[in-house]
Amino acid sequence: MSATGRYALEDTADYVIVGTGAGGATAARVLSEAGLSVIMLEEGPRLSPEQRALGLLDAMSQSVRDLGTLATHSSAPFPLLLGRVVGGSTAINSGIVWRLPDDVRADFVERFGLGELLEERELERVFSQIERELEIEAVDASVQGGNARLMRDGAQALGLTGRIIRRNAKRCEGSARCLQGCPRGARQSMDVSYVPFAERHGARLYDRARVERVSVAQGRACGVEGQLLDADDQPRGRFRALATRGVIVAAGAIYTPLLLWQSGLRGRVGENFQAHPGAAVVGRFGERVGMGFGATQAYEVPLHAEGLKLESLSLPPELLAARLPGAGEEFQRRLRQLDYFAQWAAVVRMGARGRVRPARFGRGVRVTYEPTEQDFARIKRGLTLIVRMMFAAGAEEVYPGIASLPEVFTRPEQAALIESARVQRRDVHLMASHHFGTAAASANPALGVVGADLQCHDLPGLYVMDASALPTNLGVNPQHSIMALAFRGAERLANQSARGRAAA
Amino acid sequence: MTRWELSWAKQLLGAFAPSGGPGLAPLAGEVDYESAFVRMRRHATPLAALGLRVALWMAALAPLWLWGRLATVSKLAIERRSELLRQLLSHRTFAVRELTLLLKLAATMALLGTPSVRARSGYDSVQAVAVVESNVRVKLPVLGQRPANDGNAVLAPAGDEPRFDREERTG
Repeated sequence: MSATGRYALEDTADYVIVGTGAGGATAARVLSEAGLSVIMLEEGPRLSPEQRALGLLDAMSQSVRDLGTLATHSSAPFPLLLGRVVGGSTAINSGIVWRLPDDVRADFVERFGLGELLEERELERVFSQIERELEIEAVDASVQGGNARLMRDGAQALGLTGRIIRRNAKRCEGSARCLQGCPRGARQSMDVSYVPFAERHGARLYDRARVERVSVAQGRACGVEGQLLDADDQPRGRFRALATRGVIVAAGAIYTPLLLWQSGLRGRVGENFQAHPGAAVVGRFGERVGMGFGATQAYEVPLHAEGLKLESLSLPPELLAARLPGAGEEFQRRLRQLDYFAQWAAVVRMGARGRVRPARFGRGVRVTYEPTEQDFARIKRGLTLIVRMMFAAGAEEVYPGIASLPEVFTRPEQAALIESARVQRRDVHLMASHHFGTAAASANPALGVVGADLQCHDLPGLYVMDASALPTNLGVNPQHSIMALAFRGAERLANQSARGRAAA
Repeated sequence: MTRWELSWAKQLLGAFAPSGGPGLAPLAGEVDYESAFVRMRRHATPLAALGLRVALWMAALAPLWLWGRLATVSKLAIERRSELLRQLLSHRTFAVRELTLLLKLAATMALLGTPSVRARSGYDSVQAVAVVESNVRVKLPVLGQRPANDGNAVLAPAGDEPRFDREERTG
């Protein structure tokens, strides 16, 4: 209990970091190594690899926010997946690593004035360092698995250029459980890499601590306060974390703007929400595919110029089963063949812009987002390609998952139906796990929430270091770019402190 | 939730893959559908929790509004319940399809979250084969190459695109 008796927990550090995902953990890693004191706050629990559940309901209850049921507010709502666990979404993703594409970097520099933050040689240095530390490499041949192998066959048959995915999981044993949390600790998500690194350098982690607002004193962010939670997510007392140098918010592109909004910030906070929604196709093959073994994602076909990326995506059996057509006898016969299915997804760099706001009733958040006609055309193009690839790879039947079309395709020519006018937005199931832009970085305050130093234009001492600060979506998996952004931003803070100490 | 709602949950979720059916079928009482449904509601957003409940009522009363038959799902034989769910899953109205899909997701979470059913599904069998293979094989590291997977896995030639070990892994 604090001296005042108001808080069950009170602590002070140079920097308080909200969130332990790609952005927050990376910032903690840099600042703690520089000798600065750091407090890390995470709303979800800390789980060891051994605590990761096999069953999907158990696993998602542990580590996925709202069990993946947070959905867009749109004409055809779709789910937005995000982690709520130490390590954030890095603890439940496939660990795919892509550097910031050159064309996107050039756009950030030209339109948003981020030239210094994203200086080319500095970015190269930071990317290389992260790749070294997290042991990034292409998925090893021994754990690529049948799902990825078939996708490669399909891509080659259609003359598409694909590649083995590069990930942060060098010691992957192919448990196919990335989405539940790696049970071996092989994937270098933040909970097994930069969070413990920061702790070894003196950072303090408080899990099950939900931050509710940023505290302000004399016009400057000076800490945060919120609620400590028990194992059932029930409040067990309030806490306060004070920051002598600054507060870094890295709660993701949906919860960062919510926290800023709850702290009284307005302007462009929560505007400009962008995403990479995707849809998937399942195919049944005459041979065993073995989706239950291998890296969850191991093969991809990047079509960056088209704003599209195709990926192999192995599913836990619970989700795969829900994706198979029907109910009753026919469904049960398909369940008996779970080992014979492959699934590939089409992920789109959508042009749509949405908005994040507090929910109108009760707690929570409201994400308004409506894909454009062009976005949906890209989805249809991606699904068409996948259906063709599946038949080319030997699929006996393909389930496009489109309500207005036959449940089962048995001939490759049926792929053409997907791009026909009869397929409407409401006929396709989308899902999005990459979110961006809701506290965008821009040297011009009219275009962003934070400046080129990632400090809030309207509140000194408050920094945003996560996907919210990326001014647009990227067209590639964002984890690596988020980490590089946070690395650069935190290095700048560390250098400022070092200069301050030297001057003193 | 009321007792009859829990009963509907059990009847509806159990009708996706009924006991005694062909293919992968649970034994009677083997899967705890009510508990999975309650857990999903507890962890979902308030809106999704409401959606799950609405889905239950919608499907339970579907014999009336879909077929014009004065009955709830409780009065239907198990095959008719499955038929009802099939029709709801392909219904022309987006909300009906989506709400039924939520029920299907709860059903598959319960079904394949039951260890004995999952074991019978064969989903993990390839992994078991792969683990045995990787344990029995001994590969000597080659100079200049890093052993992948603790030295037990097949090494891809340096500079080449990683190979797929289809035959060895998927049998």
